[in-house]
Amino acid sequence: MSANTTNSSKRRMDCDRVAREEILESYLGGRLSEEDRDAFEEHYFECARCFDELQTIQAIRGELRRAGAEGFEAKSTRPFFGWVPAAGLAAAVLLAVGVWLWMRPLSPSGPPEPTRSQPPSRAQLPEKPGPPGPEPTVTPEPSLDQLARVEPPPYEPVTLRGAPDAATARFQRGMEGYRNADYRGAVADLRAAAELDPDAAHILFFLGISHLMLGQDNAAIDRLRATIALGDSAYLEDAHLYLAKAFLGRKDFAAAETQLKKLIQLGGSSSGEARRLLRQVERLKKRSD
Amino acid sequence: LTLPPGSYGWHARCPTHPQQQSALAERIRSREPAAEEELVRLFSDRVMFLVLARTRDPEAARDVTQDVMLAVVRALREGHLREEERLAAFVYGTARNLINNYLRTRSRLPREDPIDAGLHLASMPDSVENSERVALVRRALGALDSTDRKILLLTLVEGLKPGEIAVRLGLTSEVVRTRKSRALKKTTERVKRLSRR
Repeated sequence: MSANTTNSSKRRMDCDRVAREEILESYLGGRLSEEDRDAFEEHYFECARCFDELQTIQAIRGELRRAGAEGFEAKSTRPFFGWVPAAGLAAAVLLAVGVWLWMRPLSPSGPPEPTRSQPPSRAQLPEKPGPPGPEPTVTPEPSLDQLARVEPPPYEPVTLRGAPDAATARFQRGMEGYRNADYRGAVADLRAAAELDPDAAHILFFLGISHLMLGQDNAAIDRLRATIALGDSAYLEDAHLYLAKAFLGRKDFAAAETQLKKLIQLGGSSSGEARRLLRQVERLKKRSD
Repeated sequence: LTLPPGSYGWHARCPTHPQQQSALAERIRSREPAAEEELVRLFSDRVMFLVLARTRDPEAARDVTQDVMLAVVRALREGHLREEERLAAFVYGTARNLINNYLRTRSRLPREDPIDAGLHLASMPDSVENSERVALVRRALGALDSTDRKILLLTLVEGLKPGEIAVRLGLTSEVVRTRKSRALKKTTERVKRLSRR
């Protein structure tokens, strides 16, 4: 998109001036004169670039206000949390803590292993770091089954105005099933949605997860690979992570390691988690050799 | 007039060139339904943003946006737009007029208030695109140095000047200014890059 100029106001407003005078921040902060405000508004009605940046900076403000400067730990930056309102996020955190308590290794001097119920399907959240201090040498390592378990990323529906298009309608219906753990129903609808919109990363990703929850590893791998093949999207990191889990489910250590290494290379918020999992996989592989 | 999903999409493009604007106006004058949908898709997110900026009222934003798009479509159908190549300016002018009408009926005029980030995000129409933008912003912010995030927070949310931030963080004003500009640029560019997939 080429730089635009809006000439109708007294002072010329164009993309260069917007950047040079930090007009976007001043507009959002209510610090522009009436004349400049009008000129900028007229400008962004014709300029895709400036309007896009305006929306992004507004989203940055919103996220900083919501989370504060310190609220961007690895878990909170996971893309699927973008779909989760505060209550859902709290539930996810509680679930993660619960699973960590269930999964954490026994310390020789620690409390007895808590009573637990078997989680459904292959549920397991990614490993949480243990408490600080030296690791006891007798700490039991997680088993392959434990490492391969997955917890479906939470999803909260969004409300759209007006009638959704066909792909969105099928996606919404599929995600209704997904939320109710009806993964079979979810697969049927999400597959239809993916046929209507084959380049939608969110559809492919949740379709892959649904297959994974049904234990349909091959289909899950195909869909997660397709999500990755779309390139850098909001679901890229998670697609690598869940793909690694799918390979672990098939006891394909090498393929799982490849996915985890790719995830680490991305250098995103999940790389620490990927490193931990990779170390565990490598130790597990040594033990099984 | 129903605003279809995706109306507020962040990939929505505006017809930059006068000929494109003129062609779209002409298609609407010819009663081409697809052209009306295109108009709504191209402009409704901008109108919504503008109404929120001026009124800070989410309910009003939805209603006024609807009214603006309806008024524009009616005017175009009737051929009331003389300079069809200035369609974007016409939409903006219509929006401004209807916003002013709305504000006149209200007792208070919050035009001097800054846009409330939380309010805005909470009130923007939900869509897959908006959710994805927020997710990408979160990811991009997560990749920043924590001091840079603090500088952005103090600048964008609390509205502090570089000198005030410098005192709080034990830096110089110049360093704050530079780091703020770089952090903002880095974040917006990362979001842009991620959004292209």
